[in-house]
This record gives sequence, C-alpha cells and structure tokens, in this order.
Amino acid sequence: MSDNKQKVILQTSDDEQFTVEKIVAERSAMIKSMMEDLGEQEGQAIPLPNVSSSVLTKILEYCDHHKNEPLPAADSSDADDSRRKTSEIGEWDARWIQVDQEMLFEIILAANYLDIKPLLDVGCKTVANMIKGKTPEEIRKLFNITNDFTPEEEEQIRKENEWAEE
Amino acid sequence: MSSTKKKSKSKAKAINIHDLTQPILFSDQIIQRILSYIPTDNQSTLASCALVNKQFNRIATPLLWRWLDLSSATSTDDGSEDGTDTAAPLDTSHWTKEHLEMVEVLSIDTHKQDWCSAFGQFDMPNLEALRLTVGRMYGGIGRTHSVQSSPPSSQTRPSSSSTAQCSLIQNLRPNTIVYRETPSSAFYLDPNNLCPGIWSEVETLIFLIPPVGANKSFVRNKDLIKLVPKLTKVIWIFDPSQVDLTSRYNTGDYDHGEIDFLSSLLMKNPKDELEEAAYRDKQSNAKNNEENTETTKSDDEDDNDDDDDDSEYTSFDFYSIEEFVEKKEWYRWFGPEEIVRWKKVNEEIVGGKKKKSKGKK
Repeated sequence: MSDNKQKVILQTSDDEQFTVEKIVAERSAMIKSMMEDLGEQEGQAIPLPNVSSSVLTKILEYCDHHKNEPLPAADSSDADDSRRKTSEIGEWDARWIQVDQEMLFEIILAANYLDIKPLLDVGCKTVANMIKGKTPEEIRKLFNITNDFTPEEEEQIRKENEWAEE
Repeated sequence: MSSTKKKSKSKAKAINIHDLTQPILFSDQIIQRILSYIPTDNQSTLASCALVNKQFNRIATPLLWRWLDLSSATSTDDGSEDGTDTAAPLDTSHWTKEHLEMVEVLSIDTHKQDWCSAFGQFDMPNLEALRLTVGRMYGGIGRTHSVQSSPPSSQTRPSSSSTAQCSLIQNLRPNTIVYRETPSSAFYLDPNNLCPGIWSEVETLIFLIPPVGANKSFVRNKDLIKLVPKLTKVIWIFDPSQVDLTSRYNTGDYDHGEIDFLSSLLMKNPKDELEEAAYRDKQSNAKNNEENTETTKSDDEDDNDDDDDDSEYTSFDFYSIEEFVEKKEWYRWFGPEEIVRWKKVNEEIVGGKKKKSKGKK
C-alpha cells in the first residue's frame, strides 16, 4: 500500500511540473511503462511533450476519480469489437466531459498519446453522440475539416449509399 | 431514426460547439474508434460520415456496409392499403464487388415481385446473417419466390414466371437466418417457398415473434434436414414489444390456443411451453420434464437418441427475451436500438412480474 503513496513528476509541453500519486499516473499505460523503464530514479520528471498543462490538469481529475478501479487488461483487444459496444457514458464521466469542443478534442488526442483506454472511449463516445443525426456538412463543421471530394465523387458515393438514407 | 436525432441533440448540448480556428485532424485510428460508437443500425449517420471527406469515407464505408439494411428500401408497407404504391425499386447499379464483400448482415423486407428481377444478382461472400422481415403475406420474399427444387446454382431459367427466385437473395449463403414477422402478417415460413439455395449453409435459425403453429410445422417438416442440412440450432425469441395480442385476436388471425400460448410467453420463460408445443404429439415419448428448469439448453434430444421418431428433430433452444438480452454474443445479429427497445420491454415485464408476486405475498 505504501507503494501507492509514491509520487511521480510529470512535465507538460509548456514546462509545468505536476507531482502526482503513482496510482493516479498509472492510469496512463504510457506513463506506467515509462516509470518501469526509469526504475527508481527518484525525482526525475517524465516529459509529456504532447500534453499541455490545462489538458493534463483536466485529465488528472479523471485519473484521480478512477484511480481505484482495475486497470484494463493490456491485451484486451479493443480492435474490432465495435459491434457490441454501447455508446452509454457513466454519470460522472458525462459530467466531467462537459467541456468545450477544443478541450474535448485535445483530451482525445492526449488520452490516445498517454494510452488511457477508458478515457479515450469516453471522449470518442462523446464525439460519436455529437455526430449522430448530423449531415456531412455539419460534421465537417464540427471538426473544421474540408470536403476533399470532387462533385462527381460525392455523387457516386451518394448513389452507392442511397439505401442508407432516411 | 428521428428519435436518435433528438437524443443526440440534447446530449450534444453539453458540449459547447462553435467554429474552430484550426481543423481537427485525427488519425484513422481515432476516427475509427469514434465511428465504432455509432450504432450499427444508425445507417443514416454512417452514410453522412461517408460523405464528409476521404478519410471519413474510408472508415465509415465498411462500417456502413457491414450491416446492409434494405428493410425499408424493400418494404411494400408504405401505408397504402393495397400495395399499389408507385415507389421505384432500389437502384443497386452502383454497388461494387468491394461493397458486397463488406456485408455481414443483410436485412430485407417483403417486396413487390417485379422488384426481384430489378435488383440484380449478388454474391455476398462474407454474409453471416440474413434477416427476413415479412410485412405482408403477398410480399416478395415468400411464396412468390418459390422454385421447384432445381439447384439454384444452375443457369437454367425458372420453369415459369410464378416460380422466379428473388435475384437479390438467391445467391446468398448465410449461416444464420433471422425470420421476423410483423404483427399484421400471416405468412408461414416454408423452405419450399423460399429460394431453396439460401438454406444450404444455414446453421442457426432464429424466429422472432413466432406464429407458433406455423413455425412449429416448419421445424417438424420431414424435409427439413434435406433442405437445411447444416441446421443445428433453432431459436425462438419472443419479442413482446411487437405483439398486440388483442388486435390479433380480434382480426381472427389467431386461434384461442395461440393467444393463450403467446400470452403465457409474455409472463415466463417460454422454454417449457415451447417444448410442449413442439412435442405435443409425441407426448408418449416425452420424459418427465423437470419443472421450470432454468437451463437454456434442451438436452432431451441426446437422451432420446435411441428413439427413431425424434431423429428428425434438430436441437431446439428456447430463449425468453429476458435471457436473450443477457446474451451478448447474439448482438451481432441485431441492431443496438432494437436491443435497447427489448431491454425496456423486458424491464417492464420483469418489473410487472415482481410487483405481482409481491402483491400476492
């Protein structure tokens, strides 16, 4: 148990340092394996060049709340199990993820980078719920991405998938 | 689908959506993860995603085509009483071989006979399950597709126009057939009346909302083993949300016994009832049944192996909706929205039962 009280220092892209409990930091499979690699080198900060301090603050909140839950099995195949997934989100998580769009997308990127699978799922489910029922243009707007189809290509896809339209 | 729209809107409200200054460029892996949370049966959203850009298209297309739902595109149930609606048959001319290879579950409804030839013939080599919904008794899946037992693979033309096979399904070789009847229908499934070729690989046959008498006779058909040589499992799933017992009764479609039977299914595990129905005329051979066993497998077949009369029966499994919603491995044959609806119905039934038994005490 005393092991859990161990601290670890995380350093964000904007050079802020966070001292967090090991059990919280270990929610990130990436940090966990880095800690194992670093061994007992006390006091050495783990650099997280892809995560800003504002995003890390938010994510640590999540990790702290879930710190006593069992870690997902490393080999749990998350690949193509999509068909059985539900898009339901836990109550606390749903409240926690009520952030603005940029933060949501940054959380997803950071969760992916830090390898926090359950958090990545919360983020992806939230985006999936935002996409539901939207038109292609609305989805583009949501991500601020452009249509790279020619009108002919677009028409072709429309015809192929005609059966799926409402 | 419109209800989904509403729901998602209220959910999306939590996130403050505004115009971004920078485009969000996710990796394919993340987009894949996001789209995997769009319910399989929310096709219109997946179709929208396929039109967003090339990256989305690449990821959404297999997810969309995995579950090819032509039930509304093939349905004749458009509200017009006589089926004389002027809807054109679905245009399939843009479908490619690649699309058809993605299909794992195909849903079709009854359709006008003259549509069958308009569809074109398809091979779906990865098809797992064919979901047939029978909306009207004179629809296209049923008797209008009968063909005299000529092998469907041969190039010979059907002997007469009345026995033409539906080109849409005749080349399909599903492992599972999910057969659903809507409450208004009174079509009786008969393998002789439905493209014989499609039965050759069928291992599992699932009945939803069964008109019990008719499908009982289907399973007892002496030719069944010949027609469905690989059949190992027959599953009845009773979906009470689709059944309005009183209206069925009033239209005279069902006799008293059947109404009683369906009513009893609403209230308890159908296993015992269905077993009794399936073996009614074999009662002399029936063993003493343990009362109300909670087991889901029917072992009777094994015990009666020495009994010639029973050899024509394949293994039956009977599941109540309550048991079914717990069986995650079956979810691949059904859409998440369907399952959510069943769960609700189940909760109502279970809740009702609990109240009742409490009241008794």
